[in-house]
Amino acid sequence: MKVSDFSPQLKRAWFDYSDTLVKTSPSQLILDSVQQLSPEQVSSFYNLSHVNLPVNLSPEELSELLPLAIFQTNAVAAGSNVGLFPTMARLNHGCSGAFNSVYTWREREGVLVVHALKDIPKGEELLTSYFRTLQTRDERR
Amino acid sequence: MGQRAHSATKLMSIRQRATGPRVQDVPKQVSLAGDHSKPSKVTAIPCSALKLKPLTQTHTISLIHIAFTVTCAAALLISFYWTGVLTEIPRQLISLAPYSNAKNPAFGVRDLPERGKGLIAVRNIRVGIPVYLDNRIADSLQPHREQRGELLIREKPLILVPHESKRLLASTKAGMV
Repeated sequence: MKVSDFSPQLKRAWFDYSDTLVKTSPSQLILDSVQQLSPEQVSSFYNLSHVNLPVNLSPEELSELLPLAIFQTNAVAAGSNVGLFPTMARLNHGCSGAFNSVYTWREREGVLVVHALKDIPKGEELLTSYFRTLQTRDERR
Repeated sequence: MGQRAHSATKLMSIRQRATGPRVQDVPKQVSLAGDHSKPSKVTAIPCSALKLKPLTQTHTISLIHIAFTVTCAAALLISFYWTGVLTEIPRQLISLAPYSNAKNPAFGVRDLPERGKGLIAVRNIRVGIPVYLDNRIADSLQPHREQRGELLIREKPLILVPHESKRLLASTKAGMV
């Protein structure tokens, strides 16, 4: 989905939103996005894991930085955008040959889909590759 | 005397005509022959009685019409798929592999020892009949097309930010904002 495909109202809102990207910090941007979610969505968002968050933060700093840390840890490329998908975010990475599912962003539908690549027996973990599978091992490293 | 005998015989024939032959008058051989003929009559039930009519030329033509219609519908569906009108052929039409949904989930979120959380298959997931990764004719020319199986997840983004902010987000560590 491209910005040019949006309706005029949505396009205006999108550019307003894009303007705020320049004006606001990344942490504020994600925090604002989280505040627009429903309570259930907020709950699923904060249930996600995160890394790179410094320890010994004050409660105020934590509330400001935690959303960005969660987003940075779990977001994936979605066409020309970056998206956070709470269910897909639970998919762990499997090295070449070990992953059994693949995710694809569908631009026209605005959804991310995950398909099985091979038969997965009950009890086995679903793994995907965070990198393009066509890259060579050196490129992936 | 002769007249009496003649009149008695005539009277008997009249009585028999009126009441039909008595059982004891029927010869035993005839009776046996009658019993023997019953089974052959039962087995010889005509097809029309069972409503199983043999295929006629009309029926054959109807079957051909049905097969033609089904083939055309399948060809239309596949052409829609390949031209991108349909983004995906419903898997129920081409495979018994089920979709993962709330009623029939394929996986669940589980705690993994020392690895946080992950998605674990709660039933066998089949690849089934492979559907190609991309659904465009142009893509079909690419040699690296991947096969894929059951649809496991289909979800909309919780948060979606433009790509311009991706570099900003990526270059900015949480602790440095």
